[in-house]
Amino acid sequence: MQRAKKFRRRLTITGAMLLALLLGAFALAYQSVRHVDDMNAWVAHTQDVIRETETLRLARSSLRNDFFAYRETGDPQIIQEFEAKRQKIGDTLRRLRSLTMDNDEQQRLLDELVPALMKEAERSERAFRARSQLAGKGPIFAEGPPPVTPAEDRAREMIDEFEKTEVQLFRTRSEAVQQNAHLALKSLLLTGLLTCLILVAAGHLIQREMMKRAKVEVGLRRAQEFLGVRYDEQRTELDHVVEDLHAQIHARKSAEQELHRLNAELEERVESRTAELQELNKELEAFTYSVSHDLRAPLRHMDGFSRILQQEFGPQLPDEARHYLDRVRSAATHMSALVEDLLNLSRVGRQAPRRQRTSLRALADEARQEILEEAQGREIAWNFGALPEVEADPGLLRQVFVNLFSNAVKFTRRSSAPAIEIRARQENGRVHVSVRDNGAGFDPRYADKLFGVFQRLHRQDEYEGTGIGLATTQRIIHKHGGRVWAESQVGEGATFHFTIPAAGQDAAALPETIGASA
Amino acid sequence: MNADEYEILLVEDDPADAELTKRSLLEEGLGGRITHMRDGAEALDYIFCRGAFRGKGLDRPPCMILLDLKLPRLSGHEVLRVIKSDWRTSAIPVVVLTSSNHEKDLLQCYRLGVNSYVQKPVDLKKFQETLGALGLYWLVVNQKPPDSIFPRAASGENP
Repeated sequence: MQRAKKFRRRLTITGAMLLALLLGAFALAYQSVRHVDDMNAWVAHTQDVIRETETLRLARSSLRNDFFAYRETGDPQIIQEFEAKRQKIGDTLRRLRSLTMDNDEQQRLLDELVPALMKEAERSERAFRARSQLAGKGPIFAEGPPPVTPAEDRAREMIDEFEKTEVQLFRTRSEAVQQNAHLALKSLLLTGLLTCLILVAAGHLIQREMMKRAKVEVGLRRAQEFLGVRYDEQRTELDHVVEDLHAQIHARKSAEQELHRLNAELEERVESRTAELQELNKELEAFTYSVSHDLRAPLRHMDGFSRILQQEFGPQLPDEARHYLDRVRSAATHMSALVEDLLNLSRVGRQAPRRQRTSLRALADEARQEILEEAQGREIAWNFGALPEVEADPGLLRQVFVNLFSNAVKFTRRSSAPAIEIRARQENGRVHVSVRDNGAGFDPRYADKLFGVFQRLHRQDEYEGTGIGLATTQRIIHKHGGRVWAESQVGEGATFHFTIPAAGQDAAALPETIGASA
Repeated sequence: MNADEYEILLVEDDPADAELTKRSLLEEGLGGRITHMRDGAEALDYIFCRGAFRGKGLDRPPCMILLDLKLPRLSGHEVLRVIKSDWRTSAIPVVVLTSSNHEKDLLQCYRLGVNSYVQKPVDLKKFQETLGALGLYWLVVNQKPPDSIFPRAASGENP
């Protein structure tokens, strides 16, 4: 592309230069030829003048000869011719004047020549007239033959001079014509030469360019052939790829649609399930509300009226009747405890723990105070280790301590020196708390049953209880992302363990510690 | 304290509960004048001397109202709201006496301005002691508001 452009520019410049040269040469030749033409006209003109001069000279000589002839012969014929010859001289002179209008020198000569010749003619006429009066009397001239006067000589001289000047002019002009003709010839030769040169150069350039083009064309054809093959190959490959891509897009689209459909379905299901759950939750709430209000009242009445019966009529009643009344009252009390614990368990299950930085020590102290009533003044050795702060719901965690302490107090009832020990240590962002007692203990084979609802490992007449406390405890600890377990041997006391996130820890971010020793 | 000097208004629909409560109050020496209303609407009629109680009843407002929550017609919450939002009765001590220790109930009652909230213990002895403590506190220990705070409470005007 670049090359072709450059070439074209070069060609244009060269062509323009050559054309200018050619035009110059041509103009020169044209000018020379025109000049030759002009000069030729002038040469012809000069020849005319010379011819006229010759005519003038001849006419004058003839007039003189006539004069002499008439004097000799007196032939009237001659007189008759005289007028015509004089006329001719006048005409010739007029022509010469007009012909040499461009030449001041010749004009000046003519100015002198014309009156001289006129005078000559008049003299001759006078002589003719005089002779005619002597007609028939032989040759007579009063004045004799016209002498060669100074004026006559002067006229001849002038004619000679006139002619000499014209001849000189003719020579000069002829030379100029010859010179110009030479120049024109040279110019024409130069033009021809230049034209030849241009043709040769142009031919050479064109040939060179054509050869280059041919070379390029060959290269181009080869490249095209090569590319054509590659193009076909790549085209096929590309087609495959595009097909593949289309298939993938299609697959993805349908997968997306499927996903959308599934999502919508799932959402629908979640919505309906949520609605169901909300309904159920509402029912459950209504149920627990009803339980807390209505189930307890009859128990209160059973206990109340049994007690009144005992108070009012106790002395009159047989021992057995009093025993049965006791049974009624303890059943009512137990039932009340069951209701209370179940409500509590349900409450723990429904509410999310409100976690905050909580002092384990303060909670444990509060729980112990609450439990001391149950201990009914028994001597129990409480041993608190260092208890750190944890991230927990204080109300729920307090229940955990109450439940564990209550159990410990209950099962150490028969120990000679009941002791309860609370320890805590930090591990992996969690606090591991253990509550150990030296009470009755339990058979480790049933350790996994301990935390189930209504699961009890002791008979009611040995150690009373609802079998709900530990289930509640487990639920609270699980809600905090912790773990609870127990170890024991029959008669050797029991140790309850639980873990809970340490203060400032997020339960969800902590590693599982399920593998901790049980 | 003279038995005629105070009146305890008991609002309780369960006759067994009412009997136990009245008996316990008597046992604790608080039997002076116990008025028993069996539902919320009746209790409000009585307090504001209207309906069946127009022209009857109150010379003075009761010294204490023992209010059950689960009542027919108008619930205990409703009764509490009306009493505490009326300028003539808002100063009367109201003790909610109920089986429920439901958090919702507790919150609602305290927000309505209840003076005390007591869960009825199953054990009658404890119940009796609790009532004794309540009577002792609100009728003896606590300085009751001056009578001038109840201007013409028995005038029968509608609240």
